Amino acid sequence: MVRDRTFGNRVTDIVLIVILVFITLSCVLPIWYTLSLSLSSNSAAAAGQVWLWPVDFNFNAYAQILNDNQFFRSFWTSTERVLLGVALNFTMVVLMSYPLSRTAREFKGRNVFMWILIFTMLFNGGLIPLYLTIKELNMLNSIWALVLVGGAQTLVFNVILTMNFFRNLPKELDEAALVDGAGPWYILFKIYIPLAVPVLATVSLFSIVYHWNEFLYGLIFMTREQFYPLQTYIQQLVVSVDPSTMSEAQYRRLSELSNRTLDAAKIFIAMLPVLLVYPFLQRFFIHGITLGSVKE
Amino acid sequence: MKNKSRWFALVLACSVVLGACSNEANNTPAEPTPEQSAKSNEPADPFGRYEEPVKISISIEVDPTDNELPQGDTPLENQYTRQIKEALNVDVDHQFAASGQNLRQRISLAIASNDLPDAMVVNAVELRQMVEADQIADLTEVYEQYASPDIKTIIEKTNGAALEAVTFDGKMMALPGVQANADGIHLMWIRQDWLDKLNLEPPTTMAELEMVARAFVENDPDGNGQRDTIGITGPESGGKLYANFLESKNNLYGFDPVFSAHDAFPGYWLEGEDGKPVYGSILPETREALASLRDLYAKGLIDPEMGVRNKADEPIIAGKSGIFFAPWWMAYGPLTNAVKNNMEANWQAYALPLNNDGEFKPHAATPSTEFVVVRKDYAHPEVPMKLLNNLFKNEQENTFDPSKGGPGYYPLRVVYAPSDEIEFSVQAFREVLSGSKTAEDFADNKAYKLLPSDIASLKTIKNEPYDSMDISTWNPEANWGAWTRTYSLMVGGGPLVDTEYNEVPSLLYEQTPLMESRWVNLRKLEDETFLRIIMGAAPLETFDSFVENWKRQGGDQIALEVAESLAE
Repeated sequence: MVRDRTFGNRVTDIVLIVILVFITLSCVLPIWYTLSLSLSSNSAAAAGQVWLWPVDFNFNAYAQILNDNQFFRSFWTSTERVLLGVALNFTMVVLMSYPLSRTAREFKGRNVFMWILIFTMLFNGGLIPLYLTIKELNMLNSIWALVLVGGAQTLVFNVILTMNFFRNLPKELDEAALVDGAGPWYILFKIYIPLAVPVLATVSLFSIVYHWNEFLYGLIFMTREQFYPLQTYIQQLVVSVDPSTMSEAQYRRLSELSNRTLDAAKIFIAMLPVLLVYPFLQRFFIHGITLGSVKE
Repeated sequence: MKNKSRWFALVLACSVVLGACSNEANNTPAEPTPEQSAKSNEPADPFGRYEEPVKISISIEVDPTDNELPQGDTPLENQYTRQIKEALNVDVDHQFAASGQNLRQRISLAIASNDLPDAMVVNAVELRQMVEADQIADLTEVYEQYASPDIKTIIEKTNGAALEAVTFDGKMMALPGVQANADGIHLMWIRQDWLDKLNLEPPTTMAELEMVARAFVENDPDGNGQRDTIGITGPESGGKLYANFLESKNNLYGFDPVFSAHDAFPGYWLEGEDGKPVYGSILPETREALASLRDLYAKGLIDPEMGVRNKADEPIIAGKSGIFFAPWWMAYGPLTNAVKNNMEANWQAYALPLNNDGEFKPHAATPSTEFVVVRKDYAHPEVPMKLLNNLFKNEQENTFDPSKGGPGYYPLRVVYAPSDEIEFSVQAFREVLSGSKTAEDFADNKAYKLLPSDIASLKTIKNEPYDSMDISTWNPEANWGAWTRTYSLMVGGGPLVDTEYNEVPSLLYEQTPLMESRWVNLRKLEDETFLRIIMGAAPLETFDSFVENWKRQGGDQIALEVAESLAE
């Protein structure tokens, strides 16, 4: 019987390993493929001969990127956006979650604020009103259009996550601190924030990934390409063009620019920052999302 | 307590909504009224300079990866904008810039939010939307008074097609561009080296096409000992089987010449036997053509992965495909990479296969796909016309240096190409190569803008014998850029010069009102049915029920509407 169980366990193990390997490969292979494409010669890439190993190995694409000013300008725009966005997100999340984690008796009007928040999460005005608003606020072509609009849209979710985490912290900590004469600010900064590192790391990670990867607002709010964040720039490279509406100048240009290895190299570089940040924040990430999830 | 806060929320929400509404109403910018008097006092001079600086905001297509501009120049400040300021005293501002699909998205956003630049370049669908939304100015007078004689000639040489495209209720609502004819004529591109190796001639009829394709599949033309070659390449996933009246040119890897070899013109509006307009896709000739394609596919002579392949050009570049159908400019397409991979890949183009009467009968494309529109209340609606006059004149005089930023940076640029540009260039090359003319003979030919520079580089990339177009007689590595253009022209443009052909035009190239709600579905029905028939997923008889369905689902009504719009 013991042997049976072991056998059963081993079968389960093998099945699980196969599934996990499969899932892992489906995540890793696209990245690996992009890398090997970026290190191949362009004509081999266009012929579809590149798969898991570069054909005609070379670094030309990366050398070309070094000459591309717009790539670096966009890279910097995205970096700026992430830094501002994460700082803003962190501040807002902390300052909103703490009062909202109080009961309605302690904080009058708490439920009203909650409703407003949830309402914005479920309904929004749509793209065109948003565009008109930003335009009337004179924020077109400003980094703040990206930081604020993007930040506002992810904020509510992050606040709810953090609020639930705060609510799970033992009430006795508050009470003890109050008895010792601590005010709300003191409690927030000295007790809640240090205890909430996992969830705060998680929401910051959400915010980093969101601001880094979001491209649509860059396209809508930035009217000139020199203001594009990196992912909007990349998106321009890979959208497919319908030749039936092209003029001669356009397909001439397309043939000069259609460079699958160069595009792959740019995509790969654009992936790097998030790939590098992820492992360091990941342990918090797993902790954080489950910790905030159960509400008592 | 709970109730109170509920009310509070409601009031708050209402005030936010109301506030947003009233704001929007207030903030609609007060449009300046057009100064009619000022306009009529001024004598209409197509090239006249303004006394006072005139401002115009536009949209422009700019590729972010483009590095052509010299140091210090920007898309807003370059040789073109400086020349415009000097010649016309016009200050150009970009309301927005984007490229490709994204430009289309921005334009849609601008139309939907009515936040328009003073002028922009749009496509046919966008033009119709703006006419219906009453957003753009009537340019009839502007065109009459301000269009330069050269541009008028080019526009009028299209047999009215260019003007028709922009005329709504007798008013000219946009300035049409005019492009070379050749983009709409689809040729057969074939691996000449494979033909030679297997001792075959280029196929002239459908029967010969089948024979050659079979040889390409079965007789190992690439000599690697494996049966891994494709006879005929078909459209990629999402590609079109044939160009249609809305997208009438540059259909890569479709079967346009196969359809026309059966005298079938699916996707085009043709004159029926009773003189009424009829849609080509529902005619018996189309059924015949589908039957023959279905047969080719069943025999494995058409790429078995057609319609699912992500990139149809991959097997062409990799040297695995022997035949495909596309317009003349294929060295700009897959052929450059194909030759880079294999210097012996000898792709040649033919105006084949022929129909039963021995004729090559391609369908004709619309000359105009780009239109300049002017915002309704813009005070100087003639400025865009003057910009176009100025561009055309200076391109003829070679004022601009394309190496310091291509003509795409010119504000509101649309192409005014003489419609025989391709054919004329081919003739000129041949005359220069044969020695009957020299570069100097073409130095004054301003209408054909690129010709002098093309001729200058001609002999560096073309080796003797000059009358052979074989890939072995070219020297692409001397100058890939020049080779791409010249090979496209001489090989792809050659058949257009050497073949006598009658083009079949569509009766119209625009949508009618009913199509806006119905066409997407009808088109989907058509595409899916035809693809299934060719690939053998549905019997040929499905065609008959397709015709019934098509008519019932609005096709008949649309045909009536087309007849009405043609009668106007």
